[in-house]
Amino acid sequence: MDIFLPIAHMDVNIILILFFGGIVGFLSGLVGVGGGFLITPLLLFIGVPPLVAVATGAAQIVGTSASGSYAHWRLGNVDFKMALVLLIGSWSGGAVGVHIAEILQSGGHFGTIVTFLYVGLLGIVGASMLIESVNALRNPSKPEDPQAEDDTKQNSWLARLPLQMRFPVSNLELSFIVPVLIGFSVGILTSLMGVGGGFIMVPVMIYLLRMPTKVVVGTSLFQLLFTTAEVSILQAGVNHAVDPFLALILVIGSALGTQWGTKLGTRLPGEQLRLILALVVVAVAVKMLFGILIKPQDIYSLVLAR
Amino acid sequence: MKIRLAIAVIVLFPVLTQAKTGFTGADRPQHFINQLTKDHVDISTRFTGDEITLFGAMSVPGQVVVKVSSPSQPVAIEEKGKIGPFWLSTAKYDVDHIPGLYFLLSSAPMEKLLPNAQRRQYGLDLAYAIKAMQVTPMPKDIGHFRKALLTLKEARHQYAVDDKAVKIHGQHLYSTTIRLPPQLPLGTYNVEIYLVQNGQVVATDHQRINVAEVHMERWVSDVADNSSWLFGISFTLAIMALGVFLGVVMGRSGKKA
Repeated sequence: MDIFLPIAHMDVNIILILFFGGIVGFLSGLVGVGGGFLITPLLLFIGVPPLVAVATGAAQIVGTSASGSYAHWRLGNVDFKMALVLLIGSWSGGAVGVHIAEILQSGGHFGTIVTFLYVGLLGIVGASMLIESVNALRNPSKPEDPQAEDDTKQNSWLARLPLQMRFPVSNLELSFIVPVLIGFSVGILTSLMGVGGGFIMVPVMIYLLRMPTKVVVGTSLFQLLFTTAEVSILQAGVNHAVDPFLALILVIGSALGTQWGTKLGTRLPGEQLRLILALVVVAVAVKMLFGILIKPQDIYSLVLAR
Repeated sequence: MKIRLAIAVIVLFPVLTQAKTGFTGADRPQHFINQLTKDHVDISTRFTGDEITLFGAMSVPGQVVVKVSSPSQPVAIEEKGKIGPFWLSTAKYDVDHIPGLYFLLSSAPMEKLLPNAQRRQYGLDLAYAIKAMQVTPMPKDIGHFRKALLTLKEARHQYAVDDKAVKIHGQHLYSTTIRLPPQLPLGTYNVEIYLVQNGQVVATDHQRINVAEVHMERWVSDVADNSSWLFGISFTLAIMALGVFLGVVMGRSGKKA
């Protein structure tokens, strides 16, 4: 069953896109990571123009993270002050990123940059997940406690920064600059790669900012919901790159997949699941790398101009 | 449909008379009547291409050439080159003033039907189709570039030259099928039909196909293009609401993305 995408200017099979959304939702239900970083490469593989893939990826995350944010907000797991400061950074980063995307696109280099960013990001994330899960499978008895080590060293340089601010919900005192800078880089990533950045935000919150685990997931979800929403609006407004049909099908697919993944996730052991996800991520990175290493069949390719 | 047929016939007559007077090669008026099975194509979300049959009658036996061309559709061509170990896009060319679609259908090979000069006169050649092409920036090797462009358009079935596409039935009837690909430029397509006898065009006729988006599709692409900010804000809010709704319906709790 084919459908014509009005913004991507191409035909796609609805079932295939539902399946993509489903895989990503399934993984997020299973392992607890979002799949923003898988959606964009999957869309690129079937020939969606890079800018449309990235912009629609961001819109898709708005849909998939909305209900989670709502649930955490209801449970009181959101540090609103922290989220707001992060958003100051990520909204600026998102706006800058969308304009960088516009400039790169007009020069014809957006696809190249996206491919490099993804090979790098997926390579690093996949490899570290692989190492971690292999280690966990080998020594299952040794739980790690990252918060115990070099507490004093990290806090000392963070504490020396100006513009210190109190975050009562997280019980932290922190320079205003740190979350703004973190937010800024996540905003850039969202607009250039179509990812929510949860996979960066969560570890940064736990290890660098030392926020209590209870509010980490809620705050990062809340922050990324509004970051992706801003980027989605800007990508549609500035770059005309958000495809409504594509985004809708992905959101529906991932809602279904999450259901299934959550059910299965409770019955399967966590380490094996993480290993599977790591392998998927590495495989996608390798495929993208091969895409630019192998001589293309055709030196020229046709894209529709607006 | 009947009204359309009637209009088609009325429109046909002045074209026919023009055709008759326009060619000194023909010593007596030729009758050449043509009809499309439909004159409009509605592009909807589920549009995956269309087939339109063109058939006609001619008063004298001959060969038939059909040229279908759409309005100009700008495209961009990305060129890949090797940088270090990587194959990356190294240049982007914006191409304008070329038809989005160009079909040349005939009942025999073009070079056997008409001499070069005549083919050029009537624009019956792929090279002619992209004669007005404007490229920015100018490629180093324009000949090579032109060839690459034609290959890409042919691969998408947007350009086609087929000398077996027109079937002649007996002495006075012909038919052909115009196969439209899924990705079509919008607008009015010109269908020019030439009756050829002994290396001469003895009659011509003209038909039109109107390609337009319908309903929802038209509305979505209009809003997304012309009011992109309104579209961006309302769509993002809508998808957020949909997300919350799906979450509530399916009763799931928070997951990080």
